[in-house]
Amino acid sequence: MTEPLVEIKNLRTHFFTDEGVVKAVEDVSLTIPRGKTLGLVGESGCGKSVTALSIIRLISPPGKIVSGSIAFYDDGRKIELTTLPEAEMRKMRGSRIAMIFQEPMTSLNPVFTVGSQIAEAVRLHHRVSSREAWDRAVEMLHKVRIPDAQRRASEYPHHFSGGMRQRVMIAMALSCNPKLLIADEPSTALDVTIQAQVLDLLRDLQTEFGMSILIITHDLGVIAEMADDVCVMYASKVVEYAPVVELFTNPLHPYTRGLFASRPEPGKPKDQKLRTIPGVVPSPLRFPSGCKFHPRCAYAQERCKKEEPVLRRPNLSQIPPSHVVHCHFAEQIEEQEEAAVKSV
Amino acid sequence: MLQYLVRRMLWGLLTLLLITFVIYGLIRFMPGDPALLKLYQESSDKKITAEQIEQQRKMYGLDQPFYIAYVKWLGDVLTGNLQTSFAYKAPVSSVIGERIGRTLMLTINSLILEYLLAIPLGLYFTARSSRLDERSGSMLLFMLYSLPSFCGALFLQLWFAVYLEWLPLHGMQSDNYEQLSTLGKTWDLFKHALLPVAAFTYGGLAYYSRFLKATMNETVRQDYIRTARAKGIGPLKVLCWHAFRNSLIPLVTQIGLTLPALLSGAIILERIFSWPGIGTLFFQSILERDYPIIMGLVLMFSILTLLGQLLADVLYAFVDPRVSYK
Ligand SMILES: Nc1ncnc2c1ncn2[C@@H]1O[C@H](COP(=O)(O)OP(=O)(O)O)[C@@H](O)[C@H]1O
Ligand SMILES: [Mg+2]
Repeated sequence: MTEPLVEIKNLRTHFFTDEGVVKAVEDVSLTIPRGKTLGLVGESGCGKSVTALSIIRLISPPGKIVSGSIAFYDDGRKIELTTLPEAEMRKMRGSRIAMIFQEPMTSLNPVFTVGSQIAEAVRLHHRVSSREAWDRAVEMLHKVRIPDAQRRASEYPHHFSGGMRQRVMIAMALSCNPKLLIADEPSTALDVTIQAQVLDLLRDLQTEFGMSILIITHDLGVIAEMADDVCVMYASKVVEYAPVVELFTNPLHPYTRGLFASRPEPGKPKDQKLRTIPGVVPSPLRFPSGCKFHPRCAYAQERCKKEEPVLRRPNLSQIPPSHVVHCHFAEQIEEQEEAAVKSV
Repeated sequence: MLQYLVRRMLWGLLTLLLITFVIYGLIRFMPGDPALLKLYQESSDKKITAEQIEQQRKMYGLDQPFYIAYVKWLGDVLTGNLQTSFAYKAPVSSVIGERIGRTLMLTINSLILEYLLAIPLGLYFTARSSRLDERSGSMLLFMLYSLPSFCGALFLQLWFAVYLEWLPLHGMQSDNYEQLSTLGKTWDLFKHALLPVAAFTYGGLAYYSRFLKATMNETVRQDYIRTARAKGIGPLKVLCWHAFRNSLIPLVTQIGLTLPALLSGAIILERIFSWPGIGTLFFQSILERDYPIIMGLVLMFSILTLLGQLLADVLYAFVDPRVSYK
């Protein structure tokens, strides 16, 4: 097995607010393979963004990485990000690890031209003249398929549509050839057709630049299109982790099953009501006891209320060892569901 | 842009006409007759005949209804003549011209000081948000902001002039001013100006630094600041370039408002410091019902206010690329 790019072990990131400690990320472990894409999926508020911001170390007070490790493997060197001095971390940001965000409309500085914002990133990490940095900016705009890049580089963000701004963000993020691109819901705020274009673009650029992508989404469609591995998060924890095809063929955790059931599918008639998971994501200030999903789980039993499960390989013959799940009764539920499918 | 400015300018002129007309009317209906006042001051035996009054009123143009007098005043102004002061018996323009430099000496210096100090202070407090020095500094600024300038002026006088005796209490020049060398004159003027400038400055300083800090607090929470940090930009550059550049937008609209304050702020403080500038003149001319001087000053304030708004518009378009006047 080749060396991964990023290996997160037992990460815990908490916010020490006036109302109490918000445990936004609890004991999360995941691996971002080199040159591949890891998808992080889950409902809003389950800790995806905080996980991503922990990697690039942009958690601001009252937030803090409490424990755990984030190892970044760069040219055979192992860099521990959680303890890296801030000045060193700053050199990593933008050059090794880049990030794009959900809100393309507000993520660019309105008072600077898009070209200068890209060129600034280039000059920050490379000893080049401003002319060269500008040329690089134009080249990057061209690579993200913005027509007439030469001219548009000297325009301001408000001259661009949402989709175009997200392209600018991608151009900026990739301008220094990062090893890792974190894309936090990059297409959520966009129209469906524009969404597809942005995702296509990201995939093509991954082929060209060879970077790893950590893509965050609540949309399994995006996962299906982009991810190689999938990590499902619920209430600050990883509840299921598997290669994408495996997860789509054998979702094991009741929460993952719920996500699939609530997906609109092209086959289903439009007006048919989607089955949504009942209830809402609990607030980190008032997490339930035991398994945090039990109040919303159709299969919950007494044990689930008392005992928190561990992330483990299920004892099922058809499941490969790369598939782990955070549920006491994954095997029983799988058998129950299989039986239900057969009886139909 | 140009077209927009011309349109604004035309509206401004219309406003100007309205303001001066209303004020002209108000002055004329103020109790007190300048003709009578003048005759009373000038006669030795305090016996004044109705004939004399009639004559004096005619000389001042008070025999006509105010709207006719206003039209005459307007006509004079358009030919560049601000009429003659009742009290000084000299052209209004030369009476004002003689004093305006003294006022601007105080107010321009204090404006420069305000911005020069408020910007670094506002940025520093943003960077140190919620720390002990920021908390106590902000508290102090708030207290200064709430302290009326005439109170502050009195404290300054008490402390530095009466108690410590470091600086002159009031006035613009020492008695021996004429005998001093050029350097001595400058030093003398500097010493006299120090307290008034301090009294002018502290309120604005407190206001602008608090304003800047409030805007900056808003700006640093924006998504593009997170983007800048994600690029690997250091905290100082994020603050002073990416965030400050955006906070400049609301700040410049404030600059327009300060233009009329260059003169209006002087009225009370010049009285306290016996500074022979525009403020003192304004005060006196109201007491003496010196209509042409009052109108001349009103005209100047109004023009400055309108110019201030125009300036704010221009600066606004200059610092915010999203603004275009069409
Ligand atoms: N700055 C903050 N202060 C307090 N709580 C926060 C902060 N940022 C995030 N959280 C909390 O952390 C949890 C996870 O948030 P987030 O990672 O943004 O969720 P998502 O999965 O939608 O990206 C949420 O409950 C949120 O309220
Ligand atoms: Mg999020």
